[in-house]
Amino acid sequence: MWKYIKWGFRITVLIIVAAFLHYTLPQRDIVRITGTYNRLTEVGANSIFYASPDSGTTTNTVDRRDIRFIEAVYPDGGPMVYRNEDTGWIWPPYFKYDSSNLQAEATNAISPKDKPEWVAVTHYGWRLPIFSIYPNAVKIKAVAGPDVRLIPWVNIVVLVLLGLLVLMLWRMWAQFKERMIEPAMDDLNNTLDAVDARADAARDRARGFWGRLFGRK
Amino acid sequence: MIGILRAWLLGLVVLTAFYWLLKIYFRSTRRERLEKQFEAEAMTGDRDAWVEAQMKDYGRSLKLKLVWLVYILPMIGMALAIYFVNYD
Repeated sequence: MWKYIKWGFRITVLIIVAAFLHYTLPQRDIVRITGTYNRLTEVGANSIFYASPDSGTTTNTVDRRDIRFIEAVYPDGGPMVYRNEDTGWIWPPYFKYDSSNLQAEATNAISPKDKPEWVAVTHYGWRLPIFSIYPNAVKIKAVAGPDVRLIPWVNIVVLVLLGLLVLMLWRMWAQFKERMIEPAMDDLNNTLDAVDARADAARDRARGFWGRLFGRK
Repeated sequence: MIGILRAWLLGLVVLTAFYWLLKIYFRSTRRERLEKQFEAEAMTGDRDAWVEAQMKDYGRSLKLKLVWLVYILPMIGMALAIYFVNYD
């Protein structure tokens, strides 16, 4: 029972971390851009999947803002829609502030079906129609064709660094435990043992006294 | 604009915490190594005093100075991100 709870907890934490990284780290799609537009968008309960208001395209406190969108299709014909917003300065750490330029590039890259120009769109985030959330496009680069192989260097570097950080924190904790907690526990145990020994001695003395009076030997 | 200040402040706090943790960790591993060395070489005298004497100059060693990279590397990373996202 306890084992299941423990593993359930661990797996849940792992899934949350993986989902968080999957949302935040950049991914690249090879697509053909079919259109760009902006649309007045209500940002409500799904606001954590949009830029924070002070970095968005409006300073209005009512969360209804003009958001730029980029429409695209995958080589297999599936549709994709990106939003194009500045990211702000804390999270996610893309420090993107050239949304207008990106929109101009995207508009420039629009191509018709019979004469496709394929581009790699770097983005983070998820497209979940049910919550009306869109990945945020970060960069657009022309590529030779729909079958180009892209190596995710940024993800490799970031994941390796994160792994090293976790390893370092783990070793720090191990060192702290070995050098600080275990000696303290030893001291405590020694003290407890000493108290225990004194108590035993006292009990023996007491038993000796009472035993002499009432003991049956 | 206030967002930048908030980001810097947050970064400063987090990185300072990590900076001190790293420093404490490296000192601790060095102390442990010295203690083991003392035992291994069967030195005589006061072990703690000897360890303290060996630790005295450790703060000025190259390894402990490299801990400053904790501040420098994220700043380089941020500069790279800004460059590749907005200018490249």
